[in-house]
Amino acid sequence: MANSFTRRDFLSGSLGVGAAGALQAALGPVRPPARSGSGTRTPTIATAEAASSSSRSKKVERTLVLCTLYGGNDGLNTVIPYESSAYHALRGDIAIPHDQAQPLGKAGDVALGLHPALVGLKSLWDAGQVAIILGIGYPNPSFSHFESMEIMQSADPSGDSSSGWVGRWLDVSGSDPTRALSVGPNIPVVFTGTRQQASTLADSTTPGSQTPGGDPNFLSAYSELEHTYPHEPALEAAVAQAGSDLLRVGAKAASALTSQKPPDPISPSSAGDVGTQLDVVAELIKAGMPTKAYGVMLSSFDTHTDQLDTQAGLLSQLDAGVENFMGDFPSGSGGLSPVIVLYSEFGRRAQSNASGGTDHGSASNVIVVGPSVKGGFYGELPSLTKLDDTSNFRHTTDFRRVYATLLAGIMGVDPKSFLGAPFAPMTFLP
Amino acid sequence: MTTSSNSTTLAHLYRRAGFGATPAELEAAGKLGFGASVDKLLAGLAEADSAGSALELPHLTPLAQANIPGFSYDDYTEFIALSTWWIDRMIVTDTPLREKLVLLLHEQFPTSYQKVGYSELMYRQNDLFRTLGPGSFDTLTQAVAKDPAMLIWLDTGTDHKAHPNENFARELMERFTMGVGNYTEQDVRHAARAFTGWTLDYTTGDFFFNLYDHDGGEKRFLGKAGRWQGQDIIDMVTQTTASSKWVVARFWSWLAYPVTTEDPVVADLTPGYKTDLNLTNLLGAILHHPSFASTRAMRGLVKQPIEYLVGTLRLLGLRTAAFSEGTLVYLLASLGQQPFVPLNVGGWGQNQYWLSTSASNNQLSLAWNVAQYADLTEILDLNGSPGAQVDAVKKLLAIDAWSDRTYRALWKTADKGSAQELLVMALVSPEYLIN
Repeated sequence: MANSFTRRDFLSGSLGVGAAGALQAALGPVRPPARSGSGTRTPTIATAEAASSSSRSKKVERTLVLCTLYGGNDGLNTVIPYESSAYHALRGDIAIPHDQAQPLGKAGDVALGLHPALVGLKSLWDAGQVAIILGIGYPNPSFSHFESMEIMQSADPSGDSSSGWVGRWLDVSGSDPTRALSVGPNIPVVFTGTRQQASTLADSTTPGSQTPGGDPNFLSAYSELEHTYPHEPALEAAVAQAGSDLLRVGAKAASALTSQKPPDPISPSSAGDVGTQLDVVAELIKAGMPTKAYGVMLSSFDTHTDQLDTQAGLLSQLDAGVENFMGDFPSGSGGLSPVIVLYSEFGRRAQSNASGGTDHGSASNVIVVGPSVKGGFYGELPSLTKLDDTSNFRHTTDFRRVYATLLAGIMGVDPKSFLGAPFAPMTFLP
Repeated sequence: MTTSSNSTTLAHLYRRAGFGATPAELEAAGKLGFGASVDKLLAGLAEADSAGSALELPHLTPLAQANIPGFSYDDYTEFIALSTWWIDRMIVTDTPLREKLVLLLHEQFPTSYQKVGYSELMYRQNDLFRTLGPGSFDTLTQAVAKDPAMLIWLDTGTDHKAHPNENFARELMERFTMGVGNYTEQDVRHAARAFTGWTLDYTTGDFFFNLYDHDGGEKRFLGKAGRWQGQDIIDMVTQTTASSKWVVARFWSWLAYPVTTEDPVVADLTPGYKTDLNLTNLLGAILHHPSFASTRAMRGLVKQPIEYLVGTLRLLGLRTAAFSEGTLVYLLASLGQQPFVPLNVGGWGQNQYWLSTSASNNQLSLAWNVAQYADLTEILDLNGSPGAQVDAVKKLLAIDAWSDRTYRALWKTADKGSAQELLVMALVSPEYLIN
């Protein structure tokens, strides 16, 4: 079909909003789109502080970059027991052939390999920057995308909690709306607390354009409009809160980014839309934003049919995005150390179906990438033959141990109060 | 007699049961009164939409032609044109409740062009909602299940007897009819077997039942054993009490305020709906229900982006043709609600789901775009009287009252800024976004 590139970008919203020009003309100067990997910059106050604290304590400044893979990524065809005859029996014609998997070494006595599309991730693995946590899950798995994603994001296997594990940290860690930034128009559960929530950045606009600045009179009236008043009805107050947060986020992002050298002329991102999202995040981290958690996403992993092509396409987009992003943060680069976490609502059914795909499943792996990550396998691969009574893999490591590690290693807090119970941190973030 | 509280209730009715009333429509409704206005909107579900039908449908390449190897066409242009056509139809319609129902059914059965890939099929489904939507929910669900866009979207069309995929069977129960907790994993697997053999004839674009790929064996579904076929499964699920509660709760949540299936208002409306599963009757029962016109309902919903855009254009007397190709579709995409492109089969959320810092940013962007084309003579005529200008913009947008806070911000804008800036400020006010 014609124009597939245009269509894909259009659908994902990664092209600029046609309207943005008019808005900016009215509200402020048009900033050239930010892009990663550009030139040197003057350190901002925040990064200067980060740098000095890192030299004092010899500790890196970690930032969480939570990458949600919506639809249920097939973990078994991502980290593949390619030599196992049980694997080939389960997956038949959609098994990744033995000679295509990229060998990673053994976990226990099982040889595991990465999906052939994940070439960038393989080189990061070779550099010791990729932790693969096997057999992640929770008891009584839900096979609903929405329920399972809510469980994964809330860290509550009962499914009753409506707040997310990062959101609960937002509730008690101050009021700066830039502590967590999620790319995209809507806020996922993970970034929603009971009192506070993350701010969002549209991936279709550059961070600098988030400021509705420019005409000072308009801005001053807008700031008045977005002030909540006592006893304001809750929904109206929520609108006003979002507007006033926009002003604060915009001001912070703009001041962080204006301290940079003007970006080079734009070159199209090879990484597709998750790559564009990661570009925005990289730019903000490098500009010294005080943000502790970012959210990006990639969807369409629900491969009931035609899994080989679909998953390869998605993983290759993801791989390019992650590799390009990590290129901006070589280990020891000014103490800035983003930690990308790749996770999905569930893995897929052990045995493939007759449509060249897989149905909803349970336990899967979580992949953690970054210069300060201790690479290797963690946890234990679920048995490929001893399935549960729904013909799914049995999880071997509780998902909350991953969050405990991230909360302790990135936010620097005691994870217990955010997870409802103590879960032993793992060792991938030393 | 038109009292202020009457016109407030009528404006609310027209916003929820359509895309908002212009001052002229509001005046006409005022003469009828609330009950008769509801009946008039309901009657529209069965009447011809002369203004909507008069819109020329853009050229959409038929599936059979699109599939000829080597045939090339500009699907991107077709898709933008189709999306714009739908937005325009929502603006001009003479039967606003039916167009609102079409939008709500798109949310009930979220199907994305991103996977379907053919504009013609998205149009067929859209028109199916328009023609069958006002009837029985069972008949509608049967038709949606055989609709080519759905057959592609949830993979029914590539299902095989040997090892059926569960995609459609699961989402049928979880998202379209009953909600989680009302069926077992065994129900999902047995229902998936019943839908084997349901496929799509790519030469005609029609549903085709492939008997040879159908599992005709006995299935156990919702506690009953039988040689069930797909139609039986749909009949059984739509007739459960769980489904009645689910459908009632969803429509009440879209039209009045968000509720769970356990809300008293759902208990109120469920027995009536369950007698015939008729959506026209359900809409009537909701709109005539005393709680529909309550304060809670009137301040109970954040406008969804499509409602926000369409309602604003209607109030300002604007049509899609005023904007450059694709602009409105881009704006909706930036706000997270692009027509024909729900993120997934879960569709879109409500209220807080639509509020975020980037949403505020993109609401400004949308408002500014729209303000460029609005006829603001009435506001300009009042130059020099900021208070009168703020009142004029309130009337223009059919707002009941500004809070003191909003009034001050608008007054300041009117005093120091342009008429366009005043309109933008009003369009992003909490009072306009919530109602």
